Amino acid sequence: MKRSIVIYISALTLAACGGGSNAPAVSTTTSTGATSNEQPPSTQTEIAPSTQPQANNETEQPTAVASDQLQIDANFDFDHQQQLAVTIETPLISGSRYFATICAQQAVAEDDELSADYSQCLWQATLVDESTTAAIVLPAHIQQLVAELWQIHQGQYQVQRQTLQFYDGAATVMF
Amino acid sequence: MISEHSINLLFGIGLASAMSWQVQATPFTECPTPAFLVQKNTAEMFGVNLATGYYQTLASNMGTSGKVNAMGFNLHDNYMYGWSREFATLVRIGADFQIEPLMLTGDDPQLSFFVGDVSLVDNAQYMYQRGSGKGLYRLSLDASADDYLQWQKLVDGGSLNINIFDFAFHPDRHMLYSVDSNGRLWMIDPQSGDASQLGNVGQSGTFGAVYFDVEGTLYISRNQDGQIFRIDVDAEQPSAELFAQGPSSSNNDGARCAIAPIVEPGSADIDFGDAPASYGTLLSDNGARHQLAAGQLRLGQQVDGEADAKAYPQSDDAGFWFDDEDGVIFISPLQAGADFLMVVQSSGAGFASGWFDTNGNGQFDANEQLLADAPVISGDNVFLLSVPADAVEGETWARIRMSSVTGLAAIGGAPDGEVEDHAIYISDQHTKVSFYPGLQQKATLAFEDNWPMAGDYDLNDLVVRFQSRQISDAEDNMVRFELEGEVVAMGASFHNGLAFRLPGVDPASIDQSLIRFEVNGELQSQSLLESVAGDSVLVLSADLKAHFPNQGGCDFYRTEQGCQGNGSFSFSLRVPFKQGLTVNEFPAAPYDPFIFATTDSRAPVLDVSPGRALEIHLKNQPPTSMADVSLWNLLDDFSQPSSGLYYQNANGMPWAIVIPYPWQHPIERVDISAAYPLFAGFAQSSGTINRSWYLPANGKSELLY
Repeated sequence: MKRSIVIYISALTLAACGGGSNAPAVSTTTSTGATSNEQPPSTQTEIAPSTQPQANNETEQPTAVASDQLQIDANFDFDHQQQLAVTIETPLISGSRYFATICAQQAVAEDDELSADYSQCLWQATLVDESTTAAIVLPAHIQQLVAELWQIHQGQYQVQRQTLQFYDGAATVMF
Repeated sequence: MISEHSINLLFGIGLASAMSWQVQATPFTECPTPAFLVQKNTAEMFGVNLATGYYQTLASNMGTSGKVNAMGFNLHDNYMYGWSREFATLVRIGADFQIEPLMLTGDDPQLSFFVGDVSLVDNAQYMYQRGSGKGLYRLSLDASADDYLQWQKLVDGGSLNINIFDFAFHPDRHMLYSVDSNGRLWMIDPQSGDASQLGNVGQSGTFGAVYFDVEGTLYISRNQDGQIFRIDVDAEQPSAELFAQGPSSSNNDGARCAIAPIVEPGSADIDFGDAPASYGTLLSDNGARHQLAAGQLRLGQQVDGEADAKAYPQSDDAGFWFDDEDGVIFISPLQAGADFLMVVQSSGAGFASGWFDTNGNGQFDANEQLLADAPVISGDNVFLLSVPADAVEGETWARIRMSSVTGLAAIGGAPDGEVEDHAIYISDQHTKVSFYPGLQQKATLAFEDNWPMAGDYDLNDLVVRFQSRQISDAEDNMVRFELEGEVVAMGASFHNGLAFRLPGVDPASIDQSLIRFEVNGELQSQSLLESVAGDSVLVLSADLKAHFPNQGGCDFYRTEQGCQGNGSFSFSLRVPFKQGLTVNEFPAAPYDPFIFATTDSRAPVLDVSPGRALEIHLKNQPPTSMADVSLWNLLDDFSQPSSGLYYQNANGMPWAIVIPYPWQHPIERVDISAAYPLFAGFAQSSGTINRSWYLPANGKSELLY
């Protein structure tokens, strides 16, 4: 059952850097629903690129060098992930319950809706404070993250989504 | 992948071209597993998988314009026999499902029959009609017998007067069984005509198709709703247990080869759950199961077909290539007395139901169904559900089923869809959960174990897949650390132990009495915490090789082409913390996984094994205090502890890496740089380019295991 359509435009304008490299402009959506399966309506401002595992598209050509011939910086420790800090800011309304998730962004949403790849969620929480911090470890192959805020009120839910933009390994999301 | 083998056995026989009834049909080539069901006023033949209720049309034209009833499968000649209303005689039915009327002799009772079966013992058709002047009849099917196809009346229907619609011979005893319209189970002695009432099975209706399986279990199909029940006829108080949902019809008759199992061994066209057996998982327990067929409803992307369930801890879902429990995702923590969100990913329109063992008694009780026949559509379906306030805190199980049919219970068969069983945790407080590398993802830990000698860089001496979860409370205190994984390859001759160090986590902060550690599903009684000052070292195995003792004709475990490997080592670890350890004090994933030597030989690398003192960590991870520092700079090691540089050779190559993905490792003696051509650029650029070098699309599949 369609409840409402809310367009939520974030003023988030952090510069793209770090794990969110090649990030697009900030995208936000808000959807609502009930306890049923129905797909909540949503509107988005922009779609970000895929985060699905895919072939490398960088210009580096494969070398024929054997591993024992490689010259590797002694300080490079072969990390394939990056530690990031996310702060989620949201007003909490009495009588509502809030969940938040941080997941890889869905590669291609069927209806051009900003959506999360739930199989690649990195963090989830029940929110009890208006400001919550999350320490996440971002795998190298995930290009874009989306934060979701789920508000549960009297058996209904409303979800808002935003893409994450990182600066110096940190991002703040305001719902 | 769904095996087509069984489906072909079941239904391929129905593809034979129609033949006229005058032509002698060929018999079945074997004792078929499926049940045969003939329905409709113009007879049509269906094949039914009694385990799931799934059915397909075998023949829409059987060569008659009328009904066929009283069917039975004759083991002596591999034909079916039945009564044709159109031809008013017994007919033989071959593998093409065309009827062949037979000429009967003797005293024709001038009756039409809908109750019948073929005896397994004396090669004869038995048919019955109630009422005085009618009764139980026998027709020999033995062409060499003097009484071949000759009417023989065994008992009058005045004395054997029961309201049944089909009967079936028991596979082990020459007795007929049926359930009448009031639900009474009958056993009939065909010799004497004596009928014994064995009790009321609790279901009433018109049971027009009655079958046995090789175990002597009776199956009855109710015309009105197609429901299939199973009955243990030898039980003290036999009862009808709903077994599957089959086709309904006003006219129904069934036949089956009674010495066939209900599910063909080795078949792979049924999806089972994998919760512990106490939840009703195995076929023998009428476990939840769904027929698999191409193009039908699925939960998520993966599904695996089996002949029977592999219940936890023997579950195959922690397997190497995929976990088919991928269509149900809990996107919020489960907390007693609070709502939670669950996403059901469906391939199409259907109905979802879910049971949650919230009281932790090892069963899905009737009042634990939190989702009942909820419509789902293709894609993500979000459900807001509530955990009961009296839910017991701790680990438990949930079962989600999705099908085109409604009314499914936590157990029993379904003709399509899928079942997923999920281990869940019900908390008693608000929680935050961090996943590495993702909620339904696994990371890969890959070692070369020749340190301090350079290896061959196939990075498959030990390959482990794992996932970690850090659970904290609303105040950011660590509540629990969870680690799960399995060894997926071992291309090593050396014996190695496996451990994870949690740097900076004081063992005193761990509630050691509540650690739960399982190996291959078995709870381990010994402590896995090692006494190392300042850090918590969790030893998962002191010698992994012991779990892979015999690789047959292969040298290693799953590193050589054509070698599937024997043995397994899966682990599940729950480490609870006392109050006082904050999230900020807890190390970030992937922590510090390492292997260590045993006292077994390390020749030719070392003449004498240092045992536990030889550790191999990720590059630039310092060893534990138990490591032998005299090993630095031996052979190819180029560690500089004073500069914080460890476990690298002169060129900066490591002996171990962690990849946040279920990585496919190179086959034996294939250099990682050859198997993944982008690796060299990644390594030499210090990770500034080719950061996704490890994805399958960037590997040479012919060089990967």
